[in-house]
Amino acid sequence: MKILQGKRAANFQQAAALAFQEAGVADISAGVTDLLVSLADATKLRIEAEKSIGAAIRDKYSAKPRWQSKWWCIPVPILTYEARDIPQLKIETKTYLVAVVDVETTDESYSVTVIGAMGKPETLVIPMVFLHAILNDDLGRFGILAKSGSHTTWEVLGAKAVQLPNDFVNKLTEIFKRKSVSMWLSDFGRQGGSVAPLVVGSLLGLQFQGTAQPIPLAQQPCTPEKLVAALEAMAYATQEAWEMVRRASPDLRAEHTLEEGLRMVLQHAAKGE
Amino acid sequence: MNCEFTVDEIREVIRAARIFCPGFSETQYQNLMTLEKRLADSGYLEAVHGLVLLEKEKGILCTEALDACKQLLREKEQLEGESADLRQKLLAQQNANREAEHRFRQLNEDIEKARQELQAVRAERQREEKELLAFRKKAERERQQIDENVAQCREKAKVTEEQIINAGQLNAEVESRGFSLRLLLDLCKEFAGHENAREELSRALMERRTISEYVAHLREQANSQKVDLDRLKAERDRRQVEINGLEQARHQMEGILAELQANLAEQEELRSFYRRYWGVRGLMQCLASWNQIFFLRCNNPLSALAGVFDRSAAGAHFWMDKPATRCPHCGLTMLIYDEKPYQALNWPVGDPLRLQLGE
Repeated sequence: MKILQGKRAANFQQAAALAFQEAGVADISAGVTDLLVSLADATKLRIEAEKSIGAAIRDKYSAKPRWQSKWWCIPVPILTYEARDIPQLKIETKTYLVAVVDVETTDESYSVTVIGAMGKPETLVIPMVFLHAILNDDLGRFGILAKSGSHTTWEVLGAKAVQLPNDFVNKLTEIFKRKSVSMWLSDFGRQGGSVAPLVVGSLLGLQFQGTAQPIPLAQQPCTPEKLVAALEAMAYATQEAWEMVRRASPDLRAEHTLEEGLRMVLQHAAKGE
Repeated sequence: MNCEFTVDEIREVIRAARIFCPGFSETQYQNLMTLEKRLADSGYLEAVHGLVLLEKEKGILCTEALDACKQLLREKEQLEGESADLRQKLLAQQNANREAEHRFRQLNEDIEKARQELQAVRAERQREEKELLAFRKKAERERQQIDENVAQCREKAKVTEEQIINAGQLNAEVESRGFSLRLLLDLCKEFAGHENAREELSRALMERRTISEYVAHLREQANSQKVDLDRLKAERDRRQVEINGLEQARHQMEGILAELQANLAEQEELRSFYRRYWGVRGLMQCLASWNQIFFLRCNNPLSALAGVFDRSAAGAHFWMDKPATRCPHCGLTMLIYDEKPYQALNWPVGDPLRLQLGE
């Protein structure tokens, strides 16, 4: 925990701004915290916050300190887009404690601000298909595996079971009635802006999945898995195919079609021989 | 969707979209962006909505929309002309309707007013009829009561109607001679106490010559009797004062006598006490010199039994200046306090007594 001199926050907004600055994501909108506040257990947070404040104050002031504090717990999110198995959005949330404390020692009295992360980070994994369903208010298409007062677990084909807080899902559904996805992501600042094209693209893909004209396999985007599958179809062994793809990888680009990529891999293989 | 993606970001969008929709192209994305812009323009939506309505309602395709629009505009002008005439007629009719409604309302109000007035008049009439009926009944009752009263008065006066008529005639007769019935009655009253008023009057006139002189003589007698009466009253008051004084003196003497009698009784009692107790004063002084006195008696049952037959053989009574343990007569230890002396002195039984003699 870091101790700053003086009272740096008087309300939740100021405390949130301080926490975002401390976490290095100063451009996040404070409204985002409302969505994430249900991730942590309030009782646990209170106990942990009071413990952390006590430890920080006793560590700093050795002369029998007595204190009174006012504190806020600010969830600070980190967004990540992953497309390894199935495209999904990850929201890792660290809880930051911001506390303004009046300390009295045997000699002096001080006003300080205690700030720092506490507890373990919570991670929410939202597959794009799930986000698309929230956007279309169509969560009913997923089977429910488990449900409690606070959380629900859905079965999503091709991905791990998705467990999310009910409050989070309800609030996100309400947000999408008022905002577009890119506007919502812009609330997360620069990190939101960086993942926005990928998230929006995935959602567009899902939206047009059934309507767009199918394209021939050769014109489809090139991925290592598709290249290996194509080479295997050409009677290369799996290990050999992966090695060929690895050798050609410096020249392979994500926008290449499968045909272009295959041609490049074969050219590299011919050069190698 | 955010239309402010950079070129690179748009490529990312398309690439990400192709994961789920391999056929998704940049053209589709651009189309989407264009659509978004157009959706932002409300006029565009209205135009599209109008074309859809045109096709749905009139069956006119989008390509024939312009010709159809011209035709519809002409029809619209014609219809607007007709509409203006109809509007004027409508206005005139509305005015007529309003006027008729106004008249109708006025008429209704008048009818309502008249109805209310009629009801008020009816109510007034009913009320007055009731009052009249009550008045008749009351008048009838009063007439009957007056008749009854007259009958009772006649009965009480023991006069008949004929007598009343005669009295009326007599009154008229008396008044015709310059007198009144009251004067006649007073004169009758004046002479009623005299059995032989005529003789008394003639004798008085013979003695005093005139009635005035006779009256003056009577007044003189009355005055002298009044003076005698006052003198007797004064005498009676003086005597009453003397009686009151004597009564008071008697009360005082009775008080003194009672006091003297009480003193005499007290002296008699003292004399009796002196004669009775003077001989034992030495004993009393001796007992008063003791620090304490205990009154005891022996409770030997044999002595008690013997005492029934012979009082001198009863248990011994004895007074001690110390608590005793044995009877001085029989030597037994069956001692109890003697209640009688304690009761006589009004002292708690068993408490040591210190005898106090007076001055």
